[in-house]
Amino acid sequence: MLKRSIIFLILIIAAAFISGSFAIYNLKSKSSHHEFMVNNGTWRVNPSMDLKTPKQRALIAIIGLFALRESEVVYFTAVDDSDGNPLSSTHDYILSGSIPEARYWSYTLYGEDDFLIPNEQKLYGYNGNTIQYMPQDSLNPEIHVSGQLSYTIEISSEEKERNWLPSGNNKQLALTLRLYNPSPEVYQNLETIPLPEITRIK
Amino acid sequence: MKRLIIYGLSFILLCIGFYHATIYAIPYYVYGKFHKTMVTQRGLDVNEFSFIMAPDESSRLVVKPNPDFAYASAFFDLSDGPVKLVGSMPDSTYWSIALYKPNTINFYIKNDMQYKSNALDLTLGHQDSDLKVDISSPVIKGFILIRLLIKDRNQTVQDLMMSHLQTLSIDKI
Repeated sequence: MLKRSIIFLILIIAAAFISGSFAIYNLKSKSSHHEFMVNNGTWRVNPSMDLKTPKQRALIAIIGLFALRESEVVYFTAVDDSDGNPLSSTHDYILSGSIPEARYWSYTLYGEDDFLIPNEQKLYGYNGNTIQYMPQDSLNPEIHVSGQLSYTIEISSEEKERNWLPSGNNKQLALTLRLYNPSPEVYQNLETIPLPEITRIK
Repeated sequence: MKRLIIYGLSFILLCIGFYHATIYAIPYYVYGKFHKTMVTQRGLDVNEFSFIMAPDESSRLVVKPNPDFAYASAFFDLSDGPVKLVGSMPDSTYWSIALYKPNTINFYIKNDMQYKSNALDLTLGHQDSDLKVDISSPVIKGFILIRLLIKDRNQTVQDLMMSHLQTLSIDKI
């Protein structure tokens, strides 16, 4: 009887440890993100933030605690460049985009720990008020979106002159594009609206 | 042999059970950890606001903070009945009020354009309360997060935004 109780106790402890570890590993894996998100190029977005399933709640609690419903904000996230390679501070990237259709929008860069990356200049992101737009008359035809102001953001561990996002020393970077009160077209075309390419330049 | 099969099946069932229990418990654990830090390290009481101006690299309480915002947050408690949320918000920038359950579900969100006035005077009560309230909460205890967009990083603007947030309070009715 005692022997059987000990075996069951060991089974319970082993099951708790193995299952708990697997649950956390599974949540942090890319496949879990893909389960709830749709892709738009290298960007991923969660089309429904109602958090009705326990797994979705657990995932958002880990990667974006206190995120808002999609009716208020649409969160696009990129952890890979446009060629599908993980964003890392060992490389430099250039992000080329136009003004998203939203009341307020911002790009924020996070380190592998999902927090803001330390830097002396305290540059963590850009929004419509802080970004420097490219002069209209010198637009690069390749990145110009007709009739719209455009911009480039440089992600690098070394200082850049314009729209620099310091990447510090991180094996994995995550870029978040927030669209507050986006236009109805954004909701209808989450997988196709034009979003910036993230190109590795070094 | 029979015993081995019983042990094996028990182990598999336990694994499935613990897996789902872990997934279910994670939001409560993350929220509980955040709550404990706010209460023990920052001395925050229930129905009392704390403020954060434009998070930076030292802000490590909640993952993926937005550095463009100032935040006012509070743990609400409706055990003693409905409460009143009052304050004076700015009229020149985005702000919003979001309420969360302890399992981190955002059950209420409204922004400045959806309120009739920047002078906040909202009643918050449990959904089973007899009183008619502006915000009906499905939980007795939860979390309020007020976001305020800082359009300009200069000190004068930041001071002005903070002065607005500091007018916020949760009062008994």
